[in-house]
Amino acid sequence: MGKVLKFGLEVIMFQGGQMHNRKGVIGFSIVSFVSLIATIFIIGIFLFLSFTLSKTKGIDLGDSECLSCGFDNPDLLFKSIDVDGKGEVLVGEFLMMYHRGGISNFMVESQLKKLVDKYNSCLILGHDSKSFQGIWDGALTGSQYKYLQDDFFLEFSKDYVRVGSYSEFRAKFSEYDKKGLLKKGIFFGRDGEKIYTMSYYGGCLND
Amino acid sequence: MINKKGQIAMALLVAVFLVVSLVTLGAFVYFDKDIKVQSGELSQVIQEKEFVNDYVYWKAISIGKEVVKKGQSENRKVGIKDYQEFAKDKNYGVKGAEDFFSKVENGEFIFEFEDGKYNFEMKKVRIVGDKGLNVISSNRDLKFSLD
Repeated sequence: MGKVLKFGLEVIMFQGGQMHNRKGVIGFSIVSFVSLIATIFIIGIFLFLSFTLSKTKGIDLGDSECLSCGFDNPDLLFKSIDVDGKGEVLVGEFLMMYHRGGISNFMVESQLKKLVDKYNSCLILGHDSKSFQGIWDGALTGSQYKYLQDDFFLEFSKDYVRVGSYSEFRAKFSEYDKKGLLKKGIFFGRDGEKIYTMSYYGGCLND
Repeated sequence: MINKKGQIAMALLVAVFLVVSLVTLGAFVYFDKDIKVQSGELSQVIQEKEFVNDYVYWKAISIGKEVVKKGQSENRKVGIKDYQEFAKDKNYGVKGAEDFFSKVENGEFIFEFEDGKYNFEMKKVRIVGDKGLNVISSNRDLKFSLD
């Protein structure tokens, strides 16, 4: 350690090839060292603030308008269905329960059928909790199919109910997508839990 | 030829300059990426807040419909207590809607039968969307009627 300091001192003393007086050099070294520490400290504060402040954005928008108030027809995920044993539950909540476990495929099928029967409509629905890309963008191209781990596709038509996986529904979804009828949705649960859906719900189309 | 130790100082100066330049360059590159990530995060926060905005409204209606249905089946008028009772088991843990359920629990709302319909009103429900440390919030009044 002593050797290193001695060498450092010699380097400073020989700056410009000239020997300076020893006390002056020591004074210069102390000032340089303090300046260096101060500079590093200030840069440290700058970096710390730039990383922390940039992420602590708390924006309060004050009072907001009730955008969806007065609409009679909510999106599919906000439609209410009377689930056996649970009472009125929103479709999104129901799908979330399914993905949390404890609700069978058959239960999903039978309860969603109520929604279709109630309004005499048709429904085609794909949902997934694993990947945003998977169900939204990849489902139609197939390129992201690997992400669809727990996919569950349903189709309720006039005369039949079909339940299956992505591969069985790919053509059907493409067809609806081409007509611009598919609707994407996200239902947010707790701790980053999300249900991604792609659906058509409305009047039955002629097959 | 200048003395050797003086050259070492010069060489160190160049080395320090190079390191500082590379760090600055790195900071520029990193900053660019960071903007994209932050933009994505903020977009998600806004999306989540909009979702909660809708969710709270339709959830309040869904509970209200069930309460009214119960009243009809029992042939009686229902009120705040009934709404609170039903809402107890209806919180499925949607993040950002905590204030709504808290206000229901504390009875900070109106649910009454008037002019042949049930009127629901809740003042200043806090709607929150957040991702990491980014938070966007607002207040809204919930108001609807059920036949």
